[in-house]
Order: sequence, then C-alpha cells, then structure tokens
Amino acid sequence: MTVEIIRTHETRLILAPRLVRAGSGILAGLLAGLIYGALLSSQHMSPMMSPTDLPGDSLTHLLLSMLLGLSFGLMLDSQALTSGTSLIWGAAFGVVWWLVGPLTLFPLLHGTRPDWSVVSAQHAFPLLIGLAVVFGACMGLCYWVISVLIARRSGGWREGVVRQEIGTGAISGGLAGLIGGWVFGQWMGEANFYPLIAGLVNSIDPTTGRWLHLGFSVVIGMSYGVLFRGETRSPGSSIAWGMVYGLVWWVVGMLTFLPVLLGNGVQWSLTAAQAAFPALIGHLMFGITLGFTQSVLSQIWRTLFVESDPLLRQPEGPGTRGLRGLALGAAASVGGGLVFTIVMLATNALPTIARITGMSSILEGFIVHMGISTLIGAAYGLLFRQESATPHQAVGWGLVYGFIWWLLGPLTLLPLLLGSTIQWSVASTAQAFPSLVGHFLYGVVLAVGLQILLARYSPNRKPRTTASLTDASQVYALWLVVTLLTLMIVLIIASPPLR
Amino acid sequence: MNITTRTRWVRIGSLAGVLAALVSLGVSTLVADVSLPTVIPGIIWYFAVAALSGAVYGWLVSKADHLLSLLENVVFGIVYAVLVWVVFGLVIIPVLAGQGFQWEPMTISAQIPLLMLFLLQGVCLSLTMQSFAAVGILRQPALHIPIESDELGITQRVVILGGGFAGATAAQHLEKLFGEDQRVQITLVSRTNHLLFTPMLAEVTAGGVEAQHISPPLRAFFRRVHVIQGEPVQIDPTEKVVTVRSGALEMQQYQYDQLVLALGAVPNFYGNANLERHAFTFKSLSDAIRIRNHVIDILERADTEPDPIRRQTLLTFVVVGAGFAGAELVGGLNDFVRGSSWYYKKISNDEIKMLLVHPGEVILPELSADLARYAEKKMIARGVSILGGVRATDASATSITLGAEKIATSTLIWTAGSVPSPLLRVCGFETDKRGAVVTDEYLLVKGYRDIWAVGDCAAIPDLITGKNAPPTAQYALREAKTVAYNVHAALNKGSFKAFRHRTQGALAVVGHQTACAEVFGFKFSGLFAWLLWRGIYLLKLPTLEKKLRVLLDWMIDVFFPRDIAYAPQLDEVVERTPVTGD
Repeated sequence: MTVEIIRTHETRLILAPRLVRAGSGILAGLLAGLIYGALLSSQHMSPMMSPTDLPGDSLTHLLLSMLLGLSFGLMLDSQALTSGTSLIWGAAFGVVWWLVGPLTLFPLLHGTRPDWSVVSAQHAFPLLIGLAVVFGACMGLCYWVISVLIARRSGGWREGVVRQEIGTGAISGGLAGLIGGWVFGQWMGEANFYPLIAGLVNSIDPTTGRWLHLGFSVVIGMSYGVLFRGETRSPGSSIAWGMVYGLVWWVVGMLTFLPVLLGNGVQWSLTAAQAAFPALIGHLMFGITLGFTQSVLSQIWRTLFVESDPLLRQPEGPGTRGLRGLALGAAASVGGGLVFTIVMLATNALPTIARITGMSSILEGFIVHMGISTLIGAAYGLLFRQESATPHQAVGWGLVYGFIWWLLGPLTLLPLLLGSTIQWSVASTAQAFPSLVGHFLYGVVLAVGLQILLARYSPNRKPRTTASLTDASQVYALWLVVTLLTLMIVLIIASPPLR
Repeated sequence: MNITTRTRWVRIGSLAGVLAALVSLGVSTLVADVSLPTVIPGIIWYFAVAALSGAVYGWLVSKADHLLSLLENVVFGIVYAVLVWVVFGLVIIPVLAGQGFQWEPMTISAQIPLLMLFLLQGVCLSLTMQSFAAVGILRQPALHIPIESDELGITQRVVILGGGFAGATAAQHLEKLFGEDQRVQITLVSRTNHLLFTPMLAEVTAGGVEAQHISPPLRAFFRRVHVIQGEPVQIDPTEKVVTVRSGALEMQQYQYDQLVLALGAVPNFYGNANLERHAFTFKSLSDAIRIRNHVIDILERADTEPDPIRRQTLLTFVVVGAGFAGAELVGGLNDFVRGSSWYYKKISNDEIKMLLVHPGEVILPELSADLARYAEKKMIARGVSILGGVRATDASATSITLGAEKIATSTLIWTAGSVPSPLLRVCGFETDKRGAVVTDEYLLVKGYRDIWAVGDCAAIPDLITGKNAPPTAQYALREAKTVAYNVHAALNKGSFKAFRHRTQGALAVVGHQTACAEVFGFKFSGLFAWLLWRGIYLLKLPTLEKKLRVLLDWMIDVFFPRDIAYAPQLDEVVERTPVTGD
C-alpha cells in the first residue's frame, strides 16, 4: 500500500490515509501504555491505581491504551503535525480522557453515577497526572515519531533541512533555557531547592544543585527548541507553548523522575501536588521565559537571514507591523481594562494596585490599573498580533494571555512591586485566585478588540516567507491544555486537601 | 458557490445551543448524580444562556478563515464553554441573584458540576454545528471565497476611474462599507500604480524629499480592491462598460453596475500650442522629477557657458500661475537653485532670476489678502521676482511672451490652470463651462442613476456656499467619502446623503521654514505656520512607512545640502512590448 505523505514545509507532516493514522495511533497508544505501565511497575504500582480507575489488570490497561491511541490517531483528522504540538495534543487528549473516563464512564462501570464534584476530581487526581501528562504526552510523542519513520520510508522527509532546523532550534533553545533557568533559579535559591537537586548526585551542596539545575534548564531548553521549532512563529505563541512545556516538565521532572531518582517513587497524589505547587508556578514561569527568549532569538535569526531576503519579503516591514501592534493593542486594552475595573471594584483590589506607586485611593488605583492595562495591551499587540486572525482565535488567545498575566501579575510582579517576596504557595495563589476571572475577561476583551482593529490592516494575501507560515489549528491543543491547567490549579488549591 | 450569511450562522448557532442544552441536560440527568436544581438557577435561564451562547458561537466560527474540522470544533467548544461558564456562572448569574462575586477557590469548586454541564453542552454544541455543516445546512462563510475563484458569485461591480485622492479614498471607503461581502467587486483604474500626495510635490522638485516617499503604492491601501494600471479611453453608459488601455496595445473592457468618475484634471493651455509645447507641466511625479533634472542640467550647462546672454537665459526660471502649486513650486525651486549654486563656481547668485507670473493682483488668491501680501514679501526677500497683472501669451524654447514683454528663459513651468479630463466631453456627459461633469448634490452625474463623479473632474453643488465645490484635495476627500456611502446605499437600496463640507483652511509653504496658514478662520504665518504645514501633511500622508521616510528626509535635509544628482525618470503608463506568436 502506498502511503502518501506530503511535506508541506520544513517541519510539518500531513498524513492522508485514515488507516495509516489508525495504525500509528494504536501503536503509539501501545508504546505509551507500555512505558506508563513499566514506570508504575517499577514503583510497584498497578496502572489501574485509583479506586475510581477501570477495574482490571495490566492487559486491560494495554487494551485501553491501544483504544485511546486509535481514537487519538483518528481524531487528529488531517492536521499537520509538529513534534511539539503532537506532544501537547497527546497531553490534551489525556486530560479530556480523564474527564470522560475516570470522572464519568468509570464510575458508571463501577455501578455508581458520577457526581462531577471537586471531591471526586480530587480522588482521581493521580490519574489526571498519570494519564494526562505522562501517558498522553508520551502517546503524542510516540505518534509523531512513528509518523516520521513512515515519512522517511516514503521519501517525504528532507534530512538536510531537518538537521539545520534541529541545529538552530537546539542552539536557540539551549540559550533560552539557560536564561529561563537563571530566572527560575532566583526563586529556587530563595526556596532552598538546590540541596534537593544536588541529592541527585548524592550531594547537599547548593552550588552543585544550582549547576545541575542550569544544566537541566539548558537540556530542557534545547528539547523545547527542537520539539517546538515549527511553532515559534511569534513571541506570543512561543510564550504559551513554553508555558505548557513547563507544565509537562513539572509533572515529568518534579512529580515523576526527581522523586523516583531520589528513591521516593512517583508523587502524583494531590497532597504531593500541593506540596510541589510553588514549583508548578516556577516551572510555568520558566516555560514562559524559555518560550519568549527562544522566540526572540529565532526571530532575530529569521529577520536577519531569512526574511531580509527580497524574495521572502512581506508586504509590510516588521517596524510597521510592530508599531501598529503596539498602538492597536494599547487601544484595545481600554475595553479590557474597563471590564477588569468592574472586577477589581468588586474584589476591592484597586487600593492594593494604588500602593504600587505609593498611593492608596480607589481613583489612584484605577489610574495605575489602566496604565498597567495599557502596557499589557500594547505588549499583547506586539507579541500576539500574528495570532488572532479571526474572533474565535482571539477568544482562545485572550484566555491564554489572561492566564499568563495572572501568573506574571498577582502571583509574581505585584508582590515584588509591593516590596514583598514572591509567594507561589497554595495559600497565596488561593488569595489571588479571584483575580484570575478578571484576567480571563480582560484577556478575551483585549484580544477580540485587537482582532477587530487589526482586521482593517490585514492584507488578503499569505505571507511569503516559509519561516512565518502558520497553521492555526495547532493552537487548539494549546488552548485546551491551558484551560484544563486552570481546572487543575483549582483542584490543587481548593482546600482542604484529601485525607 | 453557496455561501451562508453571517446572520444565518448566528441563527443556526442559537438553535444548536438550545439543542445542545437539551441533550446535555438529558445526559447529565440520566448519567450523573448531580442535583440539577442546585446547579442550574432556572430552566428558562439555562436555555436562554444556551441560545445566546450558541448565537455568539455561530458568529465566532463564521468569521474563521476556514470551515472548522471536527476536532477544532470540539476543542473550541470546550474552551468556549469555560468562557461561558466564567461569564455567566461566575459573573452574571451571581450578580443577578444578588450574591456578588464569589471567586474563592472553595466557592468556585462548588461550581464544578455546573462547569461539567457547560463542558458537555459545549461539546454538544460543537458537534451539532459540525453535523449541520456536514449535511449542508451550514456552508462556507463569504470570507472563504477566494477572489480569483471562477465560481465567485459576484453580483455587483463597482468601477472607479482615477487613482488620485478622490478615487483612492472612495475605494477605501467602499472597501470598508462592503467589508468581506465578496459578491461586490470593487475595481480601481489608475494611470499610475501609486497615489500621488500632491501637497508635497514641490518638495520633490526642490530635492527636499525623495519622489517615492510621497507616492504610496495603491495596492498597499487595499485588502480586496482590484487595482488596474491603465487609462480609461471610453465609457459606454448604455452597455455599462468601460474600456481601458494598458500600455500601447492592450485594450480591456470592464463591466460595471456603479461607476465613479474621479478622473481629475489636466493642464489647461487655453489653446496655445506653443505654451503647451515648451512649458513644463506640474501635475505628476514625472513632471516634478523632469523639472528637477532639467534645472540641474541647466546649472551644469550654465556653469560652462561663456556667453553671458546665453547664461542669463539659462539662469532665468519662470513659473506661470500663482496659486498654491505655483507659489510653493517657485519658493522651493528658488531655495534649491540658489542653495545649489555654490557647487557651480562660475554661477553667482545675482545671475539667478526666479520669476512668478500671474494675471491677478496678489498671489495665492485662496488665502486672505494680508497673508498673500506676507507671502509676497517673504518670497521677494528670498530673491523671487513677482510679476502680477500679466498673462503669458506665447512661448518658445528660449523665451516667454508676457503681453508686450518678452523674457528670455530656458525654463518655463505652467501651473496657470487646469481643465477636467477631456474624456468626459468625449463620452457625452453634461459639463459646465470649465469642462467638469455636472452632478447633483448626491454626486450623481446628471441624467444617470449609476454614474457618479467626484474630485477635480466634477462640478458639485456646495449646499453651504451655493457655488460649486472648489477643486481641492480637501474637498476631494470629503466627496469621496460621500460618494462611497451613496454607492453603497444604491446597491443596498438605502437612502443617499447630500454632499456638504465647510472649508477647514488652507496652508502654503513659500520658502525655507516660512509658510502661510488659515485654519478654521485663524491665520498663521512664518515658522509656526511652516511647522503646522509639515505636521498636518505628515499626518495626512498615507501609510506609516511613507511618513517615516519623509520625516527622515526632512531630518537629513536639516544637516546636509540638497542632492544635485539627476534623479531617475519615472514612467507612468508602462508601454508594453507586444507579445507576438513564434
């Protein structure tokens, strides 16, 4: 049977026949199931590890994995895939399966009706971590590798171009990882995390831990640059991809391999997640820094050596587009800022905002808030202007951007600006949680407003540079993971924890 | 190609929302152990939210750049459901119930069952919309139809003749009014592929700005207006066809349903063939560059000319016409020639004669008398001689005749009058004595319901002054906006708007850092007026890129002398080499 696999541009695959996708999915599910099962077996745990899990044994688990893989392969339809998005699609698929399976179908198979309460979700938390990130991401990555192998066999894979892409991705990612690791390291030092890291080499010396941490950061950064090289089309999308990649590494690193290597076994329980919650925020921040830096480095490279080529020029220069994005983002932020003001009035947050500049009244807080809103809106216009071509994309990106600024703002910068230290604890996050709703609303209003304003300027022609070709459908995975990340945070910080 | 209008998407989305709410309610009632009355404030509320959110969902996905696949629809449905839960479940409903915002994690976690219901509803909504698309109830939104598609369902064609201020602005407004409605095709026919920003034309001749910096390409303005470089040669109102010549041989015909005439004006030599033959015109970018190159050539020749009489002829420059174009041109040219003369060792400043000739009493008749006198005084102080009350009656290669007097000159520039495009008379439209096509107050050409006219080629009654609207750029821009509105109304059976405009003011540069301005009745002169002129016209110059380039030109001009290298000549309508078979 001839398999037609076409390479659209440097990094993407399009899989045509449904049968091939189904077969690849089954194989990917099986491989992921084996890896997942092997990991748990090494910890003397059954893959069916939760009371709410499906009854059965490892064979049931493998069959279920293959079925999930089949669904995964078929559901991806004719999407173009990159390594990074395949990984995130896998994680997203895993989370959706967690909602459908353990929270809904499995109770029915146990003879009880699902109540969809936070308590039942907390009971199923280990499955969320295991299924979503470990199994799901693993399945996504396996699926992509299988697709690449098929493509190589049928000659649809340009080795030379791939090597160059991997090279530049690894270099820029490694540099970005170093910078992100340094940023994350500031908190790790304060939280006295380095001795724990140093324990991997049987040491308790913080300096050893710091070097190890930087080493890991470089490796993670390189892997990001390689896996997501097809997705860093703008700083905005790269920030978001970096953030979810940070989440993946929190689970894979902090909750899985670090405790395993330290002899403590996987730590997927809700209690462990609550204890490691500050590190979750830290990993997300690491990912944001990583994504942003890697994108900037890539963009510099592309601007200097690719898009400067007259044959690949866009109708408008980056200066025009950037300035326009800044101005229109600032204009669109007015609506978002006003909506958020309503939220801040309801939560009495304006006096706190006023304290940033040494003032205290509500009016002063409003002025400071609108000023901040304008800056954030301008940044959105500059960083995300390529993303929101249509209103429904704007909704998705607005939610993501609102979430990012909730991490950067109330959780990180606000305490620093008020003279305090960064508090990424469960308690402080719970305290800052109400503002997440406001950030979501702000983000959506800002993004949709910018899309409407930018729609006047978007020329009706595709960009000519292959380096800036977009495939908007990949971001659906990203939106889904960020949405579900929010739900996961709710589960973790909703006290009291499980007993 | 069948399309689904956005309104239909919204209606279908609303229906899908209600269906999805029904299904999700039923499934959760049967499957989940959730006490629905504690989760849903009320059944009517629940279905109302579902209908509204479905309608918004339909609107959002109708504006997508492709018909969403199953996976994309489902994922967006999930993300959208979370947003709906946030807006309704966490904000609107608690406020309406008088509970206030309760967003602590514990209280939010109590809303998780409602979130699950919304998620289920979101998935059902997306699947319902997907099903509607699969069975053909929903099709491609109009956005998706490529312009070049043969299956394009174009039902209306608007053709605009002329790519100047009036024509380009009309096209821009029409594009905005018709939005993404691909059933309407908008075509702009222009002799050049750029919009000439005429207020800065004199600066090109004077070497103050680069030619291309004041001529943004027409194609850069538009998203979907079809731009054709060519010259209209015939209009057939009966067949509703326009014939356009592109290059020497190609004639193409374009059908229209609505036609906008924005053909502008051409220089008027009042039937004097010698004037027409020997004078430079000053209407286009090519004219400006031609004059500049000629002036540089004159300086080069004068520098090596031994005969003093011939040298004087070479160094005498005459501009006929003292309106804005003539006054600004002579001021700029005077600065350029005198400023460059120090490159030429044999030329002294005293030999240079810059003459401004006009038939009236004062220059710049559009301005008030005191400003006009101020301008005269400044120009004379800078070395310009002004000859008022005389008309040019004849010309040769080396002279111009002003009544009884003959002045020897090798440079004669004509800005003394213009006449609307002669095509209008040829096509048989009713014209006034100036040759402009007569329109009513709605800008409709008299006797036609589908032909409009704007700009310098039109005689438009000004309802405020009672006279015809003057042929200026300020009026052209406003006329263009009105005509776009009226054309849109004509195609959508709406009502027309009459043209009204009150002059906002006028500005003219008369020399280095010196200008006259009348803005909303306030008069300014000198450096402030010059800064005002630069600021206003820089803002009006289309595209950010050109603004920055002109700003850079002005900044460089502060520190460095004007360039005296020849500028490459620009062509307007490109003469195409005929394609022959083997």
